[in-house]
Amino acid sequence: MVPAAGAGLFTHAGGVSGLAAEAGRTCRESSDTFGSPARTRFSFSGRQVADQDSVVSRLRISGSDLRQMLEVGTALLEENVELVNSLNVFPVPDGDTGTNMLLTMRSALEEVAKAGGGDVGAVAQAAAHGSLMGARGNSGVILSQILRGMARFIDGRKALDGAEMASALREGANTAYRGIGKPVEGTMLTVAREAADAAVAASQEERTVGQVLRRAVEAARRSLENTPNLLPTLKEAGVVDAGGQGYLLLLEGAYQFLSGERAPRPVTVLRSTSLAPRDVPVEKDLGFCTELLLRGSRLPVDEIRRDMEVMGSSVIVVGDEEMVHIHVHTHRPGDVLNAASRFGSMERVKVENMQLQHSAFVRGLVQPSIAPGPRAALGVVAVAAGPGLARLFQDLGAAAVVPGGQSMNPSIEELVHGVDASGCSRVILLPNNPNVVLTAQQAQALSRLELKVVPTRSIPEGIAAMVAFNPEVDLDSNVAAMSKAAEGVQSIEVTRAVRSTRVNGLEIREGQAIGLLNGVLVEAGDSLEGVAMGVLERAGIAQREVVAIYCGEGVSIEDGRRLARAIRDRWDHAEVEVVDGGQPHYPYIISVE
Amino acid sequence: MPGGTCLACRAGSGGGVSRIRVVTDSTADFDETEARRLGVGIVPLNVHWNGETYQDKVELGIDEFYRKLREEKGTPRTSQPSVGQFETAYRELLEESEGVISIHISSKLSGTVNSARFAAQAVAPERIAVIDSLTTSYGLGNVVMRVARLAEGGASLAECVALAEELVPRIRVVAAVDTLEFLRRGGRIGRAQAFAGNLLSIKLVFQVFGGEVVPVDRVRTRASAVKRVAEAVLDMGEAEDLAVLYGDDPEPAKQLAAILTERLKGVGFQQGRIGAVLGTHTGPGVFGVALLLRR
Repeated sequence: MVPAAGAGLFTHAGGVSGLAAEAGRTCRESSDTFGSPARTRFSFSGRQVADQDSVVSRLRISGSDLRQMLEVGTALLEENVELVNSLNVFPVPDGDTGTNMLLTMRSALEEVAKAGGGDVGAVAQAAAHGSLMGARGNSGVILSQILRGMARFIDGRKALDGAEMASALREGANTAYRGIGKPVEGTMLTVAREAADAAVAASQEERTVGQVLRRAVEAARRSLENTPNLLPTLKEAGVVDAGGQGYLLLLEGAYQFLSGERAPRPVTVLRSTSLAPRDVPVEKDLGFCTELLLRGSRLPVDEIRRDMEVMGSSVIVVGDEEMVHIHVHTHRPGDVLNAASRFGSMERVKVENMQLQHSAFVRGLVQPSIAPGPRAALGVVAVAAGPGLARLFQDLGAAAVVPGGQSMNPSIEELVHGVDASGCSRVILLPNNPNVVLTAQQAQALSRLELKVVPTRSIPEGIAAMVAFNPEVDLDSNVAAMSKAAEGVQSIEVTRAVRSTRVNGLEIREGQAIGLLNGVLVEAGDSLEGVAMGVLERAGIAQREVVAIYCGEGVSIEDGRRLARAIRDRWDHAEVEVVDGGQPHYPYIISVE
Repeated sequence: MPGGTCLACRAGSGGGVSRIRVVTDSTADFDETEARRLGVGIVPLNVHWNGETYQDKVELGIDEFYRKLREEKGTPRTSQPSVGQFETAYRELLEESEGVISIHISSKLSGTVNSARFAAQAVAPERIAVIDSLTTSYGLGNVVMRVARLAEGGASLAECVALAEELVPRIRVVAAVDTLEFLRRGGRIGRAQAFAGNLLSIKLVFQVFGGEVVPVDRVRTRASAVKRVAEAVLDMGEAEDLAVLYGDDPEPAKQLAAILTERLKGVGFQQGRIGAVLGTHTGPGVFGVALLLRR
């Protein structure tokens, strides 16, 4: 069954791509089959799932088994990360579910590696803790909740049999549902729940963990294929749920390990797989020259070097088991320092901004912008990607700006660090992205400081909230005023579609300009500026006063000014200003107030 | 007027020798007719523009100032009256009165009060009282007029001073500017600087409190600014009288007045324009309210 409109969904190499396309997409010709289960290839290695009699008949799995299941699951997810990213309902370039889930899992695996062995209870605990801190995006948070639930069940056990595995999956799903204020069916939650239910049912009859898990995988696949029936937007867009797909990949990988189909690659190789950093503008930022001396015992120099190599360029790692000198050019000095600090103690840390005109914007959390003077008691921490936007928030009085990170979504840990590093004891956090709101709320639960979240879902909302911030007034009054200000603004985002699809009744061709109003795709057209004008009209600009255009990658300030002139020509009452935001993915972000 | 003698001095007072005469500076705004009748002396500040110097309100009227601001290049700057101008004014007035009470724009916004104090010292310190109003425009004007009316009734210098000192803490000024440029350039932005930010479209709502510009809020739209000023006024407590003011654009002031007259019945209402000296520091888009709180 060939998908109707072939569109550059993903470009990973190999003949499996077509198969992956099928498994991942709705065939609109038939409403109920997405490749009938009997024929569809499940595993992305291209082979049919092995039959029952070739499954390694393990009655119980150990801590080491669990670790390897997680590793292979993560590997499978990693191989298909672009697929998962592309399953965004809106064909926008910052689809990042795959990346978020992958980074969350990597964080989990790092923690497992640090724990250095142990029984299932210990491994599960480590994975849960790692994923909690490294959780990014809504999908990352949900995943971390699943792991948390599983860990809670597995706690204290030395090994798991089939029934226990099933219970762990169920506890994981339950915990995830509880953690979400308003759970939506047709998402990762559904897939996790239905997989767990099938596992529990299977454990009544099946003996081995592998068999139980296989039932879970099959149920997960059916559940995933059914998600378009639960969420109309998925159906219209012709995709299955991205988070569910990611979760299925993790389960499948775990099963592939148990079935003997696949062995995990060594952990270090996993970490050195480079994920194309889509948010790093190659021609601009030079990043930071980061140097330090690491002291410890039995320092694994080669491993350290490999870790550094994925974090930047011009890597020099020399030394011996007790002292290692590290030098990296990176955009994320905070990550480098975090990574290094896991091996030993750091000395003589030096971070230099190699791009002087961006000196105000520091990636990673090494230097929040604290205004000179006494530590402010009350401050705002904002999440923003783009040097101009970061400067703007700082200029408006933010105590610190947390950059989005590789997937534009900071992890819970990065948010907690950013808040800590802000130098304030009471903090208001602005996520500025719907995919960061959950992580922000998790950070709130974890932070030692008094932290409140104003759940801004876009840069314009964030800036409106920032403008409403008044340091002379108390935390709660600020939260109220900032929330109100954020609600009063219309947010417009204009970009190019990364695939062809159908959304909200609009037919969209890959590469077309698309415009979103308050997070909903409403316009498509040929030019970015034309689409911007269309969305502005819908935003009710005729009744509003002030328009701000934030120019990002893909357009110049001149383009922005031209657009501003066009706006003033058409609506001459409007006050229009143009700001160099430098944000990735969205050439124009526009606020209307 | 060369030498800068004060305005109403020539007009003289109502009748004969008065006990106390009132002096102020050109930043004070009030009903000109009544001021003339009461013989209020006005010492003008100076506006410097493109190499020319003008005496505020004497040589440069309000309409003319805003026209220049719209059409001409260059940045106007202001300066306080000289000690000599005050000395001249005081000497003239003391020829036909027992004492002078000299009430001026906040010392934190202008050095005018210093010139006045030096002059008072030089001329007749025991007969001249200099009062820092901690405000300006109609806030200052209100104090001046009330003291002048008291003086007309034959009050002593001590009584006039007592009234002035009682009124000053009850004066409130809330205003909004549509750009921070003028406040910044004129150097009176004060605490609002850190609060201000660089987005062009930010409008600052502020108070004149404790004699200086104190930020109240920042907003993005003029509509929000009008609302915010109204809110601030209504939050302040019961007003005895108030004046709605503007620089060059009457629109927001009209909207503001509409809201306030609706909500504040029984309060004395005035309307007025903000003159050149203040306009230099706020920009033409300024609008606001000056009010006197009930005791």
